[in-house]
Amino acid sequence: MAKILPFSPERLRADAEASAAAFPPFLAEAERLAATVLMGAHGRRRAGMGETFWQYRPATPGDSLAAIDWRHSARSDHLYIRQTEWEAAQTVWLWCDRSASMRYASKLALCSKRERAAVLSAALAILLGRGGERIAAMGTDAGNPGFGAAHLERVLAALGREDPADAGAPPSVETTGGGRAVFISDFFGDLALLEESMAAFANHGVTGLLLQITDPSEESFPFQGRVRFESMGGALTYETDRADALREDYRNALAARRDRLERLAAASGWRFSIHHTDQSAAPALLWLAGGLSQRMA
Amino acid sequence: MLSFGPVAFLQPLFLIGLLALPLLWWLLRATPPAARTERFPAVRVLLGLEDRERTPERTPWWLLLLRLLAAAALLLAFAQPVLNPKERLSGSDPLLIVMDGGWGSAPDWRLRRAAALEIIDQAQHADRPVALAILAEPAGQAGRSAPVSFSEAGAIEERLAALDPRPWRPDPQALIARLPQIGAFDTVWLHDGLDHPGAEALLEALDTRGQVTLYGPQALPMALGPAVIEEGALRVPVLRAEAGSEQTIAVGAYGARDGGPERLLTRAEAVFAEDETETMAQIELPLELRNGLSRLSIPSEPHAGAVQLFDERFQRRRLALVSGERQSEAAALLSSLHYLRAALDPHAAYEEMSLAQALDGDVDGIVMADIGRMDEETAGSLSEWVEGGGLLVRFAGPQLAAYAAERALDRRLRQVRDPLLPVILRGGGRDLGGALSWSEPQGLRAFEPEGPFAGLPVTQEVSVSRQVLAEPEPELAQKVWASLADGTPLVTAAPLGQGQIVLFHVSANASWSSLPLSGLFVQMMERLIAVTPALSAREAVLAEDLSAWRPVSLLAADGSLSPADPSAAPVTGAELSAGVRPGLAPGRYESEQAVLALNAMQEGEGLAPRPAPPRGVRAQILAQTGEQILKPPLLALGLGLLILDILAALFVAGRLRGNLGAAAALAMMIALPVLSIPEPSRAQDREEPGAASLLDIDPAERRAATETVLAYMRTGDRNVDRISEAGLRGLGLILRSRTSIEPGEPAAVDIDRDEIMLYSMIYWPITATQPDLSSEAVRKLNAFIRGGGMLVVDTRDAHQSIGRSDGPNAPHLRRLVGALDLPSLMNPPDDHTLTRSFYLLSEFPGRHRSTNIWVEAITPSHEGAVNANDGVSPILIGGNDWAGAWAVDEQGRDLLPMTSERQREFAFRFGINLAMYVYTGNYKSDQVHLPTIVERLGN
Repeated sequence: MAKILPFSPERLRADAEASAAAFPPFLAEAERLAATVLMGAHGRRRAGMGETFWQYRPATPGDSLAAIDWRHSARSDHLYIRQTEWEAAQTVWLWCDRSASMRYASKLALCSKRERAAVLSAALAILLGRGGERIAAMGTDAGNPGFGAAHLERVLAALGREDPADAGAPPSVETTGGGRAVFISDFFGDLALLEESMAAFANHGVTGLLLQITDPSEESFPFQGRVRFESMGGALTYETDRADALREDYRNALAARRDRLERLAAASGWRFSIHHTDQSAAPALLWLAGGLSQRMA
Repeated sequence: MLSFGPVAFLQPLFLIGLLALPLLWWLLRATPPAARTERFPAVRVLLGLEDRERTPERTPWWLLLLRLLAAAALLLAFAQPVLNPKERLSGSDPLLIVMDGGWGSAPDWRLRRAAALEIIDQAQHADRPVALAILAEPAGQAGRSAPVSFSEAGAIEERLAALDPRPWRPDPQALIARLPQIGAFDTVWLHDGLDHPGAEALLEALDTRGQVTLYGPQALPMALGPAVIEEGALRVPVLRAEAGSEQTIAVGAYGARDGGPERLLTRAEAVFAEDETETMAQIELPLELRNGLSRLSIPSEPHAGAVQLFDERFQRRRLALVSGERQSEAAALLSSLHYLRAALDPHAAYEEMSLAQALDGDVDGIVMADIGRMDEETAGSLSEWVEGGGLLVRFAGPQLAAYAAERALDRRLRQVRDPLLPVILRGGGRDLGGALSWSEPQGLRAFEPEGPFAGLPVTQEVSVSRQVLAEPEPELAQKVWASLADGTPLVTAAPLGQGQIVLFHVSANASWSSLPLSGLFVQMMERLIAVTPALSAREAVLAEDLSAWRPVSLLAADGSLSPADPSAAPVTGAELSAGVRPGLAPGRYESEQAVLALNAMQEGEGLAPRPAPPRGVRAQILAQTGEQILKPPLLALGLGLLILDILAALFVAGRLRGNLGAAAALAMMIALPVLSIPEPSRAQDREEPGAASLLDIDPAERRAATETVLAYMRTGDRNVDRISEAGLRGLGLILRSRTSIEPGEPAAVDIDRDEIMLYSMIYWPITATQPDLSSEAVRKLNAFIRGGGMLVVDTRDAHQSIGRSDGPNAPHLRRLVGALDLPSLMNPPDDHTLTRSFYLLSEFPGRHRSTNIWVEAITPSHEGAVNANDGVSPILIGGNDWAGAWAVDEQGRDLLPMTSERQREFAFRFGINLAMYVYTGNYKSDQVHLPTIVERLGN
C-alpha cells in the first residue's frame, strides 16, 4: 500500500516526479498491452470519409451517381463505387482516476488499482493514437482533445501524475459535441458527481464506458476483529468491533452500489464493466477497445 | 520489616502502592483495547452500515483482572517479601560463633555458612562484637592456639566466606582452653549432629558464660566403615548415627579399568533394619573389575566420611610365575606357563621370574609350574615365606613326578611329607587311558564344599590322563579341594604357618589333562586369587614406621578426591597409623614401597548422635529451605501476566484469530520459563555413567570376532585411509565372488586403541604423516605377528623407485615398521606359497609392478618344518599400491585408473592368493609340496 502523505505542493511535485520516473515501465506495459489488442481486431478498417482508397463495391440502387467510379466501371459490365477509408477523427474523453483511493493494493492484488488504471488508460490512448483519434485526458493539462505523437506523449505523461484527492470524480468538461467518453475508476467517490458529469456528456450526445477497477480485498472484505477503517486520504473513517460480522452487509452494499452504477450507465446509454486487480489487464482493454469501436462505425 | 505470619516484607512502603489498585481498575475499565487501523478505500461503502455486534466499549472483566493481578504481583515483588524469615537474635553480649567444620558439616555447608553470615549480620546491626571458632581447624593455623577474641564483624565475614569444611572430625576439646578467661558472651554453635569427644565439656563451659543456641542439621550424616573381604566377597559396613526407620542406602563402587578415568562400576544396596545403626553392603563385582576398584562411596552423602578409598590391599594381587622348564619361544602353546598366563591375566598382575627373585620381591603368591627338587637354601626361604602368610600354588609335571619317585625310593623320606607339598606323593604317577592301561581318562567330581572351588560347575569336557598320586594318609580327606571322578585328588592344599600350599596334581599345560584348556581353569584361578592374601601391602604401615609417606591425592570434606600439593610435607608411617586427625587429611599416601589409603572412618570408629542438650540451651534445626526470598518468583509472575495480557489484548483486537493454536503455543513458550520458579541449584549433583556399558563388547570387535574381516591400519591421512578401505572392499567383493572366503565390510584399525588380535591380516599403507608407533602399539603389533597375524605393508611408491632402490617412503617404512620385532626377510622365491595358493602367479602387481617384495626368509632350519607362524610369513612388504588397484566405490566401480585392466585383474589375483595364504596358511604350503608328499607316500 502506498504511503499516504499530507497534501502539499512540494509533495505533489515529488510524487509527480516519482511517477514520471516510473513512467517507462508503465509505458512499456501499456505498449505491450496495446499490441495484443492490435493483433486481434484491427481497429478501423472500414469504409468512410477519407482520402485513402479503401475498396470498390458494386453500385446499388440509391447510390449517388457522383459516387460511381467511372474509370473502374468501364472495365466491366457493372457499376462500381469507389470508397475511401473512413478517416474521420473521433474525440475520446478519457478519465483515469488518479486519486488516493486508487493507490490501494492489498496482498491479494497483482498491483495497485492506480497502476492498473494507468496502464489501461495509456494502452487505450496508444491504441486510439494509432487510429488517429483525438484524445482528451480529462482533469489533466492534456484535457483538450488533440492528436499526434506529441499530444499522445503529453497524455501519457499526464496519466502518470498523481491526484491528491481522497476519492476521484470526473471533472466536468466543455464538450463540443460528439465523441466517446471512457471513465476508469473504482467509483468509491461521491456518485452524485459522477452522475453530474455523465449527464453533461449525455447532453452533448456523448456516450461512453465505465470501467470499475477494484481490489480483490474490496470484494472479499477479509477483515476480522476490532478494526478502524480509514479511507486512503484519511477523510473518512469507520470503526467496528467485529469486522467479520460486517462482511455480508458490506458485500450487499457494494452490490447495491454497482447496481446503481449499472442503472446510471444504462439510462444514459453508457456501458459498465468491472475489473479486478488480481486479473490480467488484457480482457479489460479488449472490452474498452471493443466498446469504443462498436459504436464508432 | 513488616511480617504477616510466615511472610515478612523488607520494603513494606511499596505496599502502599496496592492502594492505587482501585484507581488502576477505574482507569483500565474506561480504556478499551485499541483498535487496529486499516486503510481501506471502500469506506464510503461501509458508511451506511450498522455494526451488528457491538461489544461494550470497555475492557473485558477477565482482561481487567489479569492486569490488576500483574500490577499487584509487581508491587508485592518490590515490597521484597520473605518466606520463613530467620529468627532474630536477642541479647547484647559479645557473640561467639562455633562451627564444627568437619566432614559432617560438608553436605549442608552452604547452609551453615549462610546461617553464620546471617547471624554475624544481625550481630553487626546490634553492635555486638563477634568471634568465630572453627572446631576442625588444625593446630598451627592462625588463631588456633590463641585465645578467642571478639572483634568487628566485617573481618570475620571475610574469613567465613573463604572457609571450607575439613575432611576430619572437629575437636571440641581444644576450644575449651582458648575461651576468654573473663566476661560473659552468648554462643551460637552450628554443629553437625554427631557426638565428638569433648563436645559435652565444651557445651558446659559455654553454657556457664551465657546463652547458648545450638543449630543442628536436619538429617544426620551416614558413613562407610573400612571395607573387608570376607569369603571372597567385598563388604563394606554402612553406619548411621541414629537408629530409626527402615532405610535402604545405595553404595556406589567406583574404579578405573585399563587406566581409564574413574567411573561408576556398580551399585550395592545396604538395608538398615529398624533399630540398626550399622549394616553391611555387599559389592558384587567380577574380580577383574574389583581389582580396579578405587573407592566406595554413598552418592547421597557428599562428605568424606561416606568415602572409602582403596589402595593395593584390594587391588590386583601380584603373583610370581616360576617355571622349571627351559624357556623356548617357538613352542608358546606348549609352555607350561601359557595357560596360567591366560587364566591369570584378567585377575592378577603376574610376572615370570626365578624363585629367588620371587622371594625377594613383593609378591602375594607364587605359582610354580613343575618344579621338583629345590636346593636347601631356596626351599628354606620359600617355606619361611609361606609361613609368613604367602600362598604357594604348585603344578605337577614330569620334574615333580621324577622328584616324587626319587623321594619314594629313599626309605627315610618315603613316609615324610615334603613341607612344600600338601601331601605325600607316591613314586610314579598314574597314566590313564594310555596305550598300556585299561582305564579311561578321568573326569571331575563335584568340588568339595569346604574348599574355595565350592559351587563351581563341573564340566564334562575336562579329562585327566596323567596325574601324580597322593599317598593315603588320615588327613588326606581334609586336604582335598578337588578330586577326580574316581576319588583320587586333583587339587590338594595344606596350611603352612600362616600361609597355604596348594598342589594341582596335573601339569599346568595341556599335556596331562585338558583342565588348562577349559574355562573352568580360569574360574579356579580366579577363586584362588580371591583367597590370596594381600601380602605385599599388608605390613605397609607399622606404628614404628618412620619412613616418609608423601600425599598423592587428598580427600576434601565433600568427598571429592583431588591431587595433593606436590610440595606438601610428608608424614611418617607412625603418624599415618594413628589415623585421620585435624591436620592429617584422608587420601592416598605413597612411600617408596607402597601406596596407602587413609580413610576418614577408621576400623571400629562409629557414629553417635549428639546427646540432648542440657536445660537452658536452645536447640534448633538448620532449616533446609531457610529464608526464601519471594521477590524473583513474584516478579516473574507479574511479567508473565503482562505477557499474557499482551497476548490477550491481541486476541481481543482480533489479531490472533486463525492461528489460535500457534498463539497458545507461543504463550506457553513465553510463560513457562518465566513462571517456573528458580530452584537453588545443587552443587553436589553428580553424573554417574551407567555400569552396564562396562561389560558391553565393542560392536566392531564383536564383528571382527564373528566374521571374516579384512582390516587396514588407520594412518591418519584421510585419502590413504579411504583408498585402503575401498581397496579392501574391492578385494572382499572379488573374494566373495571367486572363493569361499567371504569377508564383510573392511575394518579400520586404530593401532593405539583397537584390539588387533581379532584380525588375521592388516593392510598397512606407509605414509609420511603417520606418527611414530607408541610402545604399546609396538607391543600389540609384535604380539599380532607372533600370534599368527600377517601385516601387509605397502609403501605405495614402487613407481618412484628405480630398480631395487628405495622409494620416497622407505625412510618412513624404516621408522614405522622398523620398530617391530621382525624376522629376517627375503624376496619370495618363484615357488613361494604366495605364487600358487590360488592362482599361479609369477609376480605380485598392484597399481605398480615392482618385484621388490619382501617376505619372511625361509631359513634352512625352517624349510619344510613349522616356523613360529606355521609357515606363513608374518609380514609382506612391497610398494605396489595394492589397495589402489583393488579400490572400488560403494557401487563396485573401480576408483583409480590402471595402466591396463589386465594388470588390475592380476592385482586382484594377487589379492586372492594373499588372502588364501593368510587364511589357509600351512595347508596351502603343504599343497605346494603335495607332489613330493604323494611321491613319498607311494614309495
